[in-house]
Parts: sequence; structure tokens; C-alpha cells
Amino acid sequence: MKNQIIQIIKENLVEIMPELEGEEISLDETFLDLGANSMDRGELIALTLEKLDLEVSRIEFVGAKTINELAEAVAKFHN
Amino acid sequence: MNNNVFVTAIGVVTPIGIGVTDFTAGLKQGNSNFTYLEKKWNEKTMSYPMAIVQDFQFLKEVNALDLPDDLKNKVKRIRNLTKSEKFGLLTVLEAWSQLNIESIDLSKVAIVLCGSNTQMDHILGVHEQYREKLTFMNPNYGLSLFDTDLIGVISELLQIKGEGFSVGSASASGNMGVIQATRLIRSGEFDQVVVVAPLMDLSIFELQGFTSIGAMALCSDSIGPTEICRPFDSEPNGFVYGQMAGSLILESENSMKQTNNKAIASVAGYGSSLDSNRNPNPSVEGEMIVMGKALSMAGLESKAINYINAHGTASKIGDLTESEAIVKMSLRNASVNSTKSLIGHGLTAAGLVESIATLIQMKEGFVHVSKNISQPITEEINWVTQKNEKKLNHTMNNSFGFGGINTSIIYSNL
Repeated sequence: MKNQIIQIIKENLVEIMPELEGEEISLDETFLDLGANSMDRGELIALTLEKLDLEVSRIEFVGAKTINELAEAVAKFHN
Repeated sequence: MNNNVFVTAIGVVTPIGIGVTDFTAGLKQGNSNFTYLEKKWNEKTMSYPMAIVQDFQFLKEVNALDLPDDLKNKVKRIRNLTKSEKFGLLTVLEAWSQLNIESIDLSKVAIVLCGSNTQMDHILGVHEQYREKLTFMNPNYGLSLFDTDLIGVISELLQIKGEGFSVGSASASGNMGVIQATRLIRSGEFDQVVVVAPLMDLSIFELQGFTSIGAMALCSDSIGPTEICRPFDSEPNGFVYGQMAGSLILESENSMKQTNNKAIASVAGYGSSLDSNRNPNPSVEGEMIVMGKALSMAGLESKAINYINAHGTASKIGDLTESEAIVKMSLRNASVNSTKSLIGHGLTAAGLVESIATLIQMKEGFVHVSKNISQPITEEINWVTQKNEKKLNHTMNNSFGFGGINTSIIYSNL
């Protein structure tokens, strides 16, 4: 499941930051280093939760700084 | 200190032309672009008259501007711009592309945004989209719900660091923005002000609201869209909404010595006043007061004004009131037209776009046709019923808003 979530996060990230299209995106690089500002991260979380139909407060995910960390945090709520 | 204020650049989007060049051609040809637009709400189909900007492709228009590539790339990377913001931003970029910016101190540049509640259709769209999934709300809504979001966008793109705020005065917002910007420069605090009026993007609720109050024209089987908008005709139908946005850049005379920017005209005088009246009805006395204040600030007599861009919405009481005020002010040398007869009423953007229409006519030496005056509301005014060449020295732009808000601005040729 986590791999599926990672794939969704990556797709959403490229949607938000088209300049990442075709780039190799590291799962452990911080969103900040990938060039995402706080608005981009907020939107990434909202889009990801919407695609997975997960009604969870975004507060649960503020600590996630990388794609891997976010995927793990999201997976906890996904059955 | 010499604090004369000049307009040094303009940008515009209207239903008869995107950009100054196309809008100028549209004014010269007397084009209009009115239509009856159907909008659905629940099961009901409503029909409203309006002037629409067709084929608006934001990035294509930005690409065509004479701007540095890095600025264009920054524009391309900005996400979540609303339609209202795209219209407004394009006009700012068009104006900016006309300026010499090398020697500008960006901490002495301010941004004045004209209008309030300019993004109603966007807001309705968000409410509809997230009605059943509130928790998935796009966080960008926390930014875009403010009209001033566009100020943030402009300042980030152009690295402007002075002051920024929005000015709301109903349909007089555009003129009020120019007045406030002029004060910012005259105070000596700022060298330049970017004055921007974004699209006032109405949702079906505002269209219905203006219909309910009896101000907006109704679609009619007996009269086609081309004839529906009739400012200063003896049988007007009410105002017709038009999509538009505009920007002008004001600059102090001292700053222009550094930048070598060229003036299109000066802001010679202005007047604003309130009628002590919450309602939509206008006042002859109030309108005379602001025209008089503008003349006196400009140090001009009535006979010096040889063109008036009237508020002229095609509301019967509004047109009668303004005509009476113009006659009583003895502005008898003025050719008078209503740009709204060509592009409709932009509401909070109207005053600024009509200022731009005024400046274009001054620069090019003509007065555009005021359409659909079959039988004029009065014979005592020199209506422009066909386009004429005319050298315009001192011009007046009137703009009035609900709630008894009156404004008038005089632009002078150099």
C-alpha cells in the first residue's frame, strides 16, 4: 500500500510543481530541498488525502518532511 | 518639492481588445461586443446581458509582452491564479513592460488595488467544489479569498517593496484608486504607484442581485444584445455588465528625471465626496461638487475641459443626473461619450479602464463614438455620436458608486 501512496504523492507533487516532471524525485529529500514552499506542501497533503478519500485532519501530517515520511504517516490512516 | 503626478504606462483587457493596441483600435472603430449569456443554477436557466472577453489565454498574452525571460518564467510558475487575478496581472505586466525600471528604487513603489469583492465567481466555485468534501479544501483558498492576494503576486513578481492596499468605493473604485495613488506620490512618500483594477468577476448571485435592485438591463426579445446598452439615450435599459481590467502607473516628476519614463498625461486634479446617502440613487449636487473640486485643484475653468468620459451607465436616473450636473457646471466645450456603450460596466474596474480610454483618446487625438444614442436624453450636451478627430487638452473622467460615492478626475496633456 505504501508504494501506491508514494506514487500518488509523487503524481500530486508534479501536478503542483510541473518543473519536477521527468526529474528523478528522491523519496528522502525534504520537500523544502525539492523546492516546495509551505503552500505547496499544504496543497500536496490536501490533494493526497482527497485522492485517497481520507478524512483526516492535516495537523497529523505537519511533521512529515519527505515523501517517505508523508507516505508512512498517510498509510497509518489508510486501511 | 515638486510633486506633480504623471501617468507613465497603461495596460488593459476589455471585451473589444486585449492590450492597449487592440483596445485603441476597438475604440477607434467603435466596436462593441455584447451578448445574452445563459447561466444555469440548479434546474433553472437564467439569461443575462453582458460584454465578455473572448479567447483570453493568459500565458499566451504574457509571452507576447516585451518582458525579460526570467520574469516570464516566474509568471509561468505561479499557480492558483484566479480569473480576476489573471486579468489584473496581465494589465500590470503590460504597463510594466513600457517602463524603464533600471533606476527605480523598488522600496519607493506602492501598489493600489481598486475594488472589493472582485472574485465572487471564484469563491462560489470553491464553495460548490468543496460543499460535500469540506475537509479536502485546497489550502490556497486561504490566500485567494482576499482581493489583496493579487498585491502579493504582483509584489513578488516585480520585487516591489513599498506600500500595498486595496481601495473599495463600489463602482467608483477605479477612480478612487487613482486618487489615493496620487496622494501617495504627492505626499513625497512614493516615487511610483502601480494602480490595478482586476476583473470584478461576478457570480450568478451578483448578476441576480443587480437585476433585483433594478439596476441591470434585462435580456429582451424585442431588442438585440447590440442595442441593449444605451447610455444617454432617452430610452435606456439599465447597465450591462462588462468584463475588464486595467492598470496604470503613476510617477512623480522627480522620479521621471531619473527613469526617463515618458508621460502620457498628468493627473491635474480630482474631487471626491459623499452624498450622505446609503441608497443607489445619485445626486446632481454631489456630482457637481466633485467636478468643481477637480477643476479647482487643476486651476482650470469649466470651458477648458474639452472631453468628458462620463460615468453614463444607461440607468435612466443616473444618466439624467449626470447630464444635468454637466450642464449646470457649464462644461459646454466638452465632447461627451460613455465608454460603457462599447464595453459595458466593469463595476469596480470601470473608473480605471475608462481613465485608460480617456488617456488613449488624448494620446491619439480622437473621441470614440458613444453608441446607441438614438434620441439623446438632452440636446444641451455635445454627444459623440460618431468618431471624431479632436485634440484633447484637459479631460474629465467621472465615476460614481452606490452609497452616494462621487469621484471626478482631470487629466491634462503636457
